[in-house]
Amino acid sequence: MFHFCDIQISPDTKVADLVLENPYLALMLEHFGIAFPLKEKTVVKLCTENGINVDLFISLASLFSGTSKEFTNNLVFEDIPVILQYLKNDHQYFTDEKYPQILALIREMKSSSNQEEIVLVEKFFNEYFAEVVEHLKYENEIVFPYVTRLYKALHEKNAAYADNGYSVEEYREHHDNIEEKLSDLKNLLIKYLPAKDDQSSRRRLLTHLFELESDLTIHSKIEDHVLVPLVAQMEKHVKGKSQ
Amino acid sequence: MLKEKANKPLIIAIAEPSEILREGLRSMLIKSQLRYEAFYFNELEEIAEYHLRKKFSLAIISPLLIINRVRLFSDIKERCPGVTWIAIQSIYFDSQISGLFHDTILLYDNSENIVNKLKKLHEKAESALSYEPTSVLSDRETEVLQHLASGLSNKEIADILNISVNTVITHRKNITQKTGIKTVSGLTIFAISQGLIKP
Repeated sequence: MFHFCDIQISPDTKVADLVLENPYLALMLEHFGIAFPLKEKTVVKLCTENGINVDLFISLASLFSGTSKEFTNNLVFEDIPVILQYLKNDHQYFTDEKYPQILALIREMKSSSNQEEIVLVEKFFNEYFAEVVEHLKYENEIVFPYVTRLYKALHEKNAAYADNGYSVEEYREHHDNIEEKLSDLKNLLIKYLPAKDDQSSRRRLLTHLFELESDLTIHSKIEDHVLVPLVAQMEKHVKGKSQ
Repeated sequence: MLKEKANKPLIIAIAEPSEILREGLRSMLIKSQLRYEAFYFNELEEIAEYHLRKKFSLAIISPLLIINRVRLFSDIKERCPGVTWIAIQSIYFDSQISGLFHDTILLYDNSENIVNKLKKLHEKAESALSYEPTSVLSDRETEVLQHLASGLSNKEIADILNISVNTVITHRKNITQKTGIKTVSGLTIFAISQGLIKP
């Protein structure tokens, strides 16, 4: 869920202050592998400790805070492993945490009213999630290994780079619109599905759906505006050399 | 478009400390042929608590319970929106008390009058429900949606309704714009929840 705050994040900003202002940043820290307690550590201190480019951290934190307009150009190829790990952690969060939470709440709604609509909602959500999983699987099995191979070709001497004809352009095209179903689900729950003693589970379900949506939005922004441009640059280097 | 008249039971909360009055009211209700569910309480607060789970549309209570507790009663009324409050008037109460109720049942009313009063309240509660518009869709859009939800393609819908595929697409755009729902499976759930198609 976007939480708008006006803190302009600088390297000297205390990270704890950012999280106090916007608790959703806790998720970002988790994906970066940064653990609580944060004490009085500044952005630059925390990034140095965890091997994260300060510009990358500030870009993502601004994205979470809704203050970001443009991405920094100060990212370098060396940021690739951190970005990949971040995205992988996010994948795991979807499948291991968010999905079971949402499904449990839909089932809770189903148990308080075994209406046909709720049964269909469960089916609908499962279809939606199957699409998400397919997308994640594609990234885990095709995109990320490809990016890793490129990265190694650039950084390790004598690393053989086998060009299998794949390019980041293909990945860009593969990005399909999986947000529609999520938006439908929210509309149905908020506007149309008749209530049957399910107010509390419905409210909690909505909170989770909004969180999921916001995280997915940030996830695809990172892919489109951080990963894809960096990979395109790496391709130029590697493939330009080999030709 | 109006929802089919939902024959929902009248959900009644009753708080009357006098056993004679309570049992009298109870047997009147049983004989009344009203569709109702009645819940009996000793205290007003219990009604407000139970209302969280069971939405009462009617509460019949003894005004004796609110003497010197007018503020509590106002508070409870606020916590139970949509409830019609009826006093069982066994003795004379000043207007400050009786004015807090929507209606009264007099001790000497005959059962026919009382039941008629309840029936009218029931109808009022039901019509409040049935006037809730179920959908903003036009008749044509509803038809398109029904076919869409049963799995037909744009072309098939166009053939059945004798309109062009482009017109079907326009109707679909309007349906999505009005409902905020984009996918066919989402629209199917919408159609079922509004009673436009059978599951």
